[in-house]
Amino acid sequence: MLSEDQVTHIANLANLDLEESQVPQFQKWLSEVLDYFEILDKVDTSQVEPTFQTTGLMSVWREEDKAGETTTLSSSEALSNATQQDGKYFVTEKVL
Amino acid sequence: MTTKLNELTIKESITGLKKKDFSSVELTQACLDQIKAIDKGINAFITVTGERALKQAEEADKLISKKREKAFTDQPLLGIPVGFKDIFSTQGVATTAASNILKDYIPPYSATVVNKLYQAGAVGVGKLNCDAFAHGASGENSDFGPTRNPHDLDRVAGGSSSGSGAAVAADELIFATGTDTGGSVRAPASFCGVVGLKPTYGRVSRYGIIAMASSLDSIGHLTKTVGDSALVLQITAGADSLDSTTSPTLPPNYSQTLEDTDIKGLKIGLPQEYFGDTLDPEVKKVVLHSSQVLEKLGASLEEISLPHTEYGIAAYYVIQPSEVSSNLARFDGIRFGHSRSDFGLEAKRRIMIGTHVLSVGYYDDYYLKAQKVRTLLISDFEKAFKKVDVILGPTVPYPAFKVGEVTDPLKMYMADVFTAPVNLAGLPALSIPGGTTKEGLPVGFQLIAPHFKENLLFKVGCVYEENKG
Repeated sequence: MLSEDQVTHIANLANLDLEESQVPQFQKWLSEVLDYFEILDKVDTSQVEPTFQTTGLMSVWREEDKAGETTTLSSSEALSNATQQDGKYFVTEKVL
Repeated sequence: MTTKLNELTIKESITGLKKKDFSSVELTQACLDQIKAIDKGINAFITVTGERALKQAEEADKLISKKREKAFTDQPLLGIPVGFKDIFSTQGVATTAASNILKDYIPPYSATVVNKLYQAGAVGVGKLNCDAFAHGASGENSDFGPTRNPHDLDRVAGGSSSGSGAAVAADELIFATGTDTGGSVRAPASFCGVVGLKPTYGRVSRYGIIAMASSLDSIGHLTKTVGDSALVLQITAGADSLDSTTSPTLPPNYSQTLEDTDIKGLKIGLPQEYFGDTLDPEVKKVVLHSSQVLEKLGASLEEISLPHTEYGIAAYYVIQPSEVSSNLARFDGIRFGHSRSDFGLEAKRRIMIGTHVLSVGYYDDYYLKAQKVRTLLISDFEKAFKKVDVILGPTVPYPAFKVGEVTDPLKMYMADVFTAPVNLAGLPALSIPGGTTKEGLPVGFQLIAPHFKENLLFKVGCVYEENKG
């Protein structure tokens, strides 16, 4: 069972705001799912390599002469859905 | 013509348009009329692009008048009304992912698949409801209300491509796009009684489609017939320089492979693990009956084993939320979308599961372990395909349940038991309507084939459709 502190820690890592009142509910849900994952311990994978993708493709390169055809967005297109923008930049909270 | 135009298949629509029995405008208007008449009760659509659609239909009609049959050689889906699951970016048209986070988002570009379908002449009727960010197996996780099953409005349409399944079943359009990460095209196909294709991972470009799990997302579609499904894949399949996971192998001519209707000697494997006690008896009956239809036509049925099936859900629900947590990190509420606090509960759950299992101290035990189990699941299928040509089984363990009936998240995850392993292996699968329960609820069965053997799925599926009686 995850502790409430662990749940809060995970939420922080994930940049999610959890209300204090929500923590017990998430604690219950997450713990239930994590408990279920224990079934994987039954499988012997000591000699097994992981699979991260099924295509077998590696290092797919774009053709040199097609470089110019890459889709790009204009500044105004890229800014068009911004919460706050000043015509040239996305405007965000001060970080420093 | 006694059939209403919106009830036609793609094939029938093209025949009718070629013969000038009706126009694309009439066909599109029939779909729009149907949407107006019934969608309040079904809630398949988030956005209806009626005006745009009729303009596109007018252009299609002009081309048909000018070039007659040749118009369809150039544009094989000319004038055919389509709907896009609302995670497909459509330039200038709201793309919400059925989430409050993106309820005001208007993409500045379109997904490759959207562009391909438009270039093939399809008419975009609207954006279809789904579980928010494609997280779900029922359609109930939409921030725009659940989509209802047209066969019983008290029941779910299946998810996550809920609007897509329902809209096709309710003849609100002729075909719809969807995505399938753990079963999200096949489950609504099964629940709504339509055909749903999950192509091989890498067969269809994911560019411009809001990502869920990048090693699992498969771009599919829902249609009224198997033949229609082949027509759509012909357009959507192919390499894309904007998606480096797409296969460089050229797609075959899918419709041509349908001309061979002989399945004598075809070996069909029925996995014993897919027919256990958790399978609803009515679903079992329908699926077995479907296999017998194929057996009567000369295929041989063989019991096979996929021994790691019982670990599939756990492996999937470690890997998929991990990839989800990474993909949903981009929703920062700065460049687009609203604040992360607007994520729904299911999105938050999955982000947190993923974040936890990827974090320091847990990565090896969970994520790495799951990816090793994934290798074993893949190996199960590889061994099976040495013995049989195609695998047949249920799509979902039960027919559509009632809205609000399944409240436990883990119980909902179990709906993916027969579909998710296919995604982990990157295989293609097709869900086909097999029959109904006593209450009239549709039951689908799925065919699974080796990588890039969608033509085999279509062949067997078509033969089944022609002979099911």
